[in-house]
Amino acid sequence: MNDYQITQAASPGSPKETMPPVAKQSPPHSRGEERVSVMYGDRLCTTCHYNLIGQPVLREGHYNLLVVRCPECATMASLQEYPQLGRWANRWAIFLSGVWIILLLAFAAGGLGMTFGMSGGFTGETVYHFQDELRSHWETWHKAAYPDVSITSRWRNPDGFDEWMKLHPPSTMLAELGGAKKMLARPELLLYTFPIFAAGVMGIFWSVALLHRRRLTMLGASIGLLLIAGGLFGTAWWQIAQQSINSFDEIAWIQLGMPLMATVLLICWGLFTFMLMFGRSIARRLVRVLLPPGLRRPLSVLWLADGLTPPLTLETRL
Amino acid sequence: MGIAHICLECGQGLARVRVQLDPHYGLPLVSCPRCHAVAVRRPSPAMKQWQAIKRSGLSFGALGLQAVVALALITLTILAIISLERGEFRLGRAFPSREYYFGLAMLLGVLPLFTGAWLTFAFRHVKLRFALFGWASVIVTGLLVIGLGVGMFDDVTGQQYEQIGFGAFGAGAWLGLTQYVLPWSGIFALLLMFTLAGIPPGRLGVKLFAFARCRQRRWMLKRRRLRRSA
Repeated sequence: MNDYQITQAASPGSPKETMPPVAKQSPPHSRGEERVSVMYGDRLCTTCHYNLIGQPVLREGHYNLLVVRCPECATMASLQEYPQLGRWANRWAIFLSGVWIILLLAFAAGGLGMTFGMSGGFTGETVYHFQDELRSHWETWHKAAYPDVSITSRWRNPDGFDEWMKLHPPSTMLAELGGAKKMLARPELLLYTFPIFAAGVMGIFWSVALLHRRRLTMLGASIGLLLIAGGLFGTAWWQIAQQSINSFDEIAWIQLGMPLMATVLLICWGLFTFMLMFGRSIARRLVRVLLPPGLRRPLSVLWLADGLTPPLTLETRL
Repeated sequence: MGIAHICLECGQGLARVRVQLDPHYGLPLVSCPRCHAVAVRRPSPAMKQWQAIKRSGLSFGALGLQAVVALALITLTILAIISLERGEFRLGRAFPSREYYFGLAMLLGVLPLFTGAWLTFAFRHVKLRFALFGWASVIVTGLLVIGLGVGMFDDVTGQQYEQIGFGAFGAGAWLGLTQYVLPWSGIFALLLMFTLAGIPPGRLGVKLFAFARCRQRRWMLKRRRLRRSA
């Protein structure tokens, strides 16, 4: 009975009849190490990185394994596996994973910032016309109410602003000046194509970056993103609405800018979510058009992730 | 020095033993000189990873190059069309300058010729008519976006927007379509005809590439045969 059988028989709670049969019994060996050859190639010690080239290959006596012993730190290395070239493969893997996660987080933050920034900037441009109309309205009122008093302040806390606001509440001003439809009919509205386009491109990027995720998971993540961003945006809107109004741009933003920006961000989110779910097929189509079959193999993960067959032959010529 | 390889039967070091290719499966076999046990020389997974990285780099490089060339050609073609339409190469001089002829040759000769050759060579895995149709679609879409954008943004005044509201977008779009997109499309049709002249050089490139690959494959087979016989 060898050591393995002894261990099996002695282990508590394992009846002998349920034990797996031992496939092959090791022949009895002496406990000594028999020198069988010399290491010819490069192999690093896993403990101290000493190159084991030239060291004797030993047949150890206990398990009959081929081993080599490090002359520096006496670590035993089994030779019946791939030679490990060093610990740097794992270190590089950890480092690259960290870099990838940081890059993804940076892309996420940058993408959100870019969409919010562009939408906010272009909303400022779009509501500028409404702001001008408000100022003209106030100037007309001021000239009529105080014909002998010249205007000293037009921008921040304009002359008689509170009185004007009591007579013309901000909530009614938009309807009084022709409604949102008239105020938004401006060429600046075309600028919103940029954040909407950027949201679509970001959707394609994330659909490829999150290859291992199913469409439903990504939809859930996108809805979560909407809830978080919507909560932040709603809080900002509420805070702005709570502040005292001191200028025309604040009226323009509260009455027109914030709803417009919310609508644009919602459109951006819709396109982003659509591209997040279906952007991978666009990426696949692009790869098929731009690369010949021979060069598509490393990118076949784009197909395999969705359980499709990669088009690696010319039979699939478009 | 190669990576360590030990005979699992007798422990003999096999790193220096030359590989014999198995005639049936093409496996790289190593025969132990001491016990004559046969083992397959398997490359280390680390080395395989490097090969995969190299192959991926080639694919991503090709993809990046294609994208860069495509973007450059799209930009240059659209700029060429707008320049030709605006008459920047119709200087109205009795004796046009050397730059005039150079610019005209670049726009009507070199650019479409290169585009045709690129469409034929780089998209050899796609039927040529699809490549040309795709190219035309991309350029016309670009012209449409620019033309409509200029029409709606620049050519219709703020006063018109105040007077007719959202209808000004329609007026601007119509203006952009008739004033820009249609003349540009006419010039693009002319450029597309010149592009067809680039197809024969592109086909020649495809043949030369196929010939070079064939030569390389033959050389590899010859090297493998020499190794086997050694």
